[in-house]
Amino acid sequence: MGCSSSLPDRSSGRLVGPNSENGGAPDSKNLRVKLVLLGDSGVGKSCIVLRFVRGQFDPTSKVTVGASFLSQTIALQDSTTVKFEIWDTAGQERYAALAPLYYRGAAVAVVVYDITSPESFSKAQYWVKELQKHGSPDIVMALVGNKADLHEKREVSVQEGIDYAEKNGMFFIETSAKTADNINQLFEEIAKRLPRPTAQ
Amino acid sequence: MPSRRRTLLKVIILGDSGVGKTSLMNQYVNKKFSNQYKATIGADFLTKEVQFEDRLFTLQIWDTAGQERFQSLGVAFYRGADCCVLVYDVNSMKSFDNLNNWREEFLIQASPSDPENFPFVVIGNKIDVDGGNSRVVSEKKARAWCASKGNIPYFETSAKEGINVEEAFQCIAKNALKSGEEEEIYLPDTIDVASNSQSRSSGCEC
Amino acid sequence: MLSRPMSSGSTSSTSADDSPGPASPKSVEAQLGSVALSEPVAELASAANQEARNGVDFATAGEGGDDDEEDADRGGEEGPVGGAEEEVWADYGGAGGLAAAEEVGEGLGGGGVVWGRTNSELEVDEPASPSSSGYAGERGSSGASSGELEIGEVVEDEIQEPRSGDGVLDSQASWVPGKRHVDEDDASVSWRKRKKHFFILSHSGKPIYSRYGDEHKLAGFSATLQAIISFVENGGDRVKFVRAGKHQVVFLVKGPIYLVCISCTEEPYESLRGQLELMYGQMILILTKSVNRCFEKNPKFDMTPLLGGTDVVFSSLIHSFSCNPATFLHAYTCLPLALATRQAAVAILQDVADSGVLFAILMCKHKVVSLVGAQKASLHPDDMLLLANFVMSSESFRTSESFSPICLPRYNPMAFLYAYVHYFDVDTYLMLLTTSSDAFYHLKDCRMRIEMVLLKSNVLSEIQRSLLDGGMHVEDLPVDPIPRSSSLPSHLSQPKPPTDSPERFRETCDGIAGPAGLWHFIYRSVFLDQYVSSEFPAPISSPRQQKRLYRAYQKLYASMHEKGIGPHKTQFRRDENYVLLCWVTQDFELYAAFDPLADRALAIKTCNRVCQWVKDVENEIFLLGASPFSW
Repeated sequence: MGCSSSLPDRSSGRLVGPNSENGGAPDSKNLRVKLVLLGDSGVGKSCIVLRFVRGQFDPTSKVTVGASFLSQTIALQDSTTVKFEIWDTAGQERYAALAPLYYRGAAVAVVVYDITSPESFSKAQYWVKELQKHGSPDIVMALVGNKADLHEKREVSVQEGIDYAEKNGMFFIETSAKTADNINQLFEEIAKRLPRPTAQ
Repeated sequence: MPSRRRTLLKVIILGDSGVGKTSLMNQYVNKKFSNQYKATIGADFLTKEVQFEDRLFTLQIWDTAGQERFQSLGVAFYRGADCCVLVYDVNSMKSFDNLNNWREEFLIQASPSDPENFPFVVIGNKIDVDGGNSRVVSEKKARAWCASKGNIPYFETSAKEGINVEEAFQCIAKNALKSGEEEEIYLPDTIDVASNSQSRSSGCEC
Repeated sequence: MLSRPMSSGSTSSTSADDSPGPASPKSVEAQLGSVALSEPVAELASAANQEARNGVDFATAGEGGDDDEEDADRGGEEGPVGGAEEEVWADYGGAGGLAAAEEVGEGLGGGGVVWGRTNSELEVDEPASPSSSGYAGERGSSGASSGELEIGEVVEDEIQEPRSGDGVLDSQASWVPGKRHVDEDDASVSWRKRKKHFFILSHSGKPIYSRYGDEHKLAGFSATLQAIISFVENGGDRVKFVRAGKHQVVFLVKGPIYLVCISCTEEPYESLRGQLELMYGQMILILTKSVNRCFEKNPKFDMTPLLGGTDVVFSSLIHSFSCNPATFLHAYTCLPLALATRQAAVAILQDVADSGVLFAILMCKHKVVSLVGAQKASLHPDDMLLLANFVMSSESFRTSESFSPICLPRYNPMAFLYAYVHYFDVDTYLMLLTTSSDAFYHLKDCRMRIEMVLLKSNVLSEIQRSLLDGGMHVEDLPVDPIPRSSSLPSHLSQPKPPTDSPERFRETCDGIAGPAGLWHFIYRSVFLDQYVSSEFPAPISSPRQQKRLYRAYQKLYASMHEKGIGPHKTQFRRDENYVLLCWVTQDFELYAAFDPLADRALAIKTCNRVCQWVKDVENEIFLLGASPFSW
């Protein structure tokens, strides 16, 4: 819906001066948020991001090294825009100890698992706990069950996802980066849940 | 697909020569293997993939050369073992008496972090011989010894007839897996900006 | 004048000057020319016999089946070799009382191929290697006749090699990265036939990495390797290598990490060991040495999960052992660029480096465009090789800008740095290394500034052009040995020498190679830690031919750098594949390959001209001045 890579800046007429760039003054109409994706390797974090940012899907798996940085701006119905600065982290075990480097100061954490892999679901729970301990206290967390198109191989039920998310105050959604199902919705829902700066 | 973590377990088989360690292996691995290296470097090596509680893991089995006279194989050999299997022949009292030596030797050489709870498994082999008539070590005696050493699981097998071998190794795998649970956490350093004065090691000092 | 005065000649050349950069080549003739005219007597027979195996190795470096990449099916294949003439002579410089040079002509079909050097092997099993004579016999039986090999062989190689070379180093393009043959284990016939295995295992015998086959299926094999190492260790000794027939097993113990190479490629021990060192370095680059602590606390520690997804990094490194001379030269190479273009790139990187970046590196594939280090920081060429390999083999860097922890093993093996990586186009990428974990946004800004400058000064398009033009082509070797005064407008594209040049001595060379049958050369500047390699001409167009030549160079390099016998100065070898000429001074090393029938005197002359040529264009092929190595 409201997903485009270059978006006519509706606010530019009204708001001259410190805009979203360089972390200017908080602006309730033009938000800029740091988002981090976490989860086991191979669950499709990069695929979700590339689908969201570039509308692409590449089935050949490319292992992420360290973390990739991408950004994308979306417009919401209420004429606000949200610029996501996305850290797509590597799921490999060796980077676990260095993850704080990427989630430090993040306003949003998207924790991803693969609905065909219970192992990745428990890894997701590990990340949720880690974020609860060391993430920003007011961080918005989303739990994402990816590869929803592989329903015949499903091993983690929707209910399990919902239950865990509810218990931990997270927003839950199942996506498919392959079919683009729910990808934009994921980011729109996150955008809606962002705390808005009160002072204007 | 997410990385399905596979576990590899190092299992060391100890016991006097002639107690049937190699026969046990042959029975378990279902693959005839010959003594290739035992004489030269002290052990033969086998790999067996095992499914256990929905997890796939690999047993790396070290079938050592048993000596008549107890002899050390050295620290390097036992390093990082996940489980140690002590084998004796129920028809040989000496091989049973030596279990204690083998156990001690292992604990000294491998020096596991928690020796009290290191997973051992004891196997009394050759129960088929003579229909059990030449047996000299009673099951009761063996079990008593195992109990005194911290409740070591005990199995009586016949490698020749294939009795109880699979069960024994299931137990070995289970115990080895249990002990491998606590993982070391990898915590890399990063360079401290202030104390960053290293330079290339080879030359160039201007 | 016989050969002895040569040593004095060579010493005079090495003391020429101490300024960085290519030295004057005036004296190669002084060294080699006199020998060329002399008629040395074969007098090193015994030493030669002891070293026969090396000679055989050398001669068969180009055997038809020496492709260790994808070789199982060709296991039994032997190359077209035979009792080719092999003449060898070497100059031992000031070493001992040895004759300065020998030339040993070989008898018909005999196995006694000669490597003219002292027996310097440390291992007792070396001279008595049973494969030595047997192997020579094999070769003889499968051999073609000498002297006519070069044409037939080239043709054959091209038929075997479906990806026909176009004269550039194209093996990278057709080579498929990543792990292959995962279904194999040590019981598989195909696995056993592979020519070159690499293993990494832990000190408890747990497998960490295997080039071929599944690590877990190879657990028994891995345990065997550990048992061999610890068996020798228990005896208070250390095993360096084991030779078994055609196979050499090389061990490298690095604390709790054991590395093993099993190879029948006949590469020298020193080369294989160097490759294991690089494998270890690559592992450190990914994990740092802090993994050692995990092993200290828990010898059972299983490292494999920590290396998850890095198969491709190791397989790409192994691949580069046979196609990137940097792996044995311990030097890096630059993309040829006009001086002004490079200076523009250096200036903007320097600017960035002054703002808290430890190293700023602009590269095009495996070639350096520009490189700047912060004060007091210097980058080892091996670290650069490993870093470039890591970045190029990890596809995700191409997708978007990245910020990743990496460790430079020669800089500090204990700790991570952070690398900001960004691709400007498919070939050209920027790496900004920093010690600060929160420098990402700063580095991103730096990159945008750099990108702007590079675009404005056309550096990026110049890079693409240079990539298309290639580097130095041997057929462009100037006839005129007089130094050129000005730099060349279109870099390095020299006017072709007149075809009726008196320097040309063989009709067959026309159009396919350089003057005097020059096929290829590598020039390594000792002070700069840089090398330049000429483009491959038609006679060495296929990746396999190129690999064979690199192996030959590698062997030469190993023999020239062997410890324990004084420094070699020059070496001249002729076998059925090439004439190889090597010249080492304090300032530079030159490795040159000629047509196997090339005339020796002319070859020597040509080498002088190559050195002069390199000096003439050094501004364009090397990174001078601003490099972290040069101050």
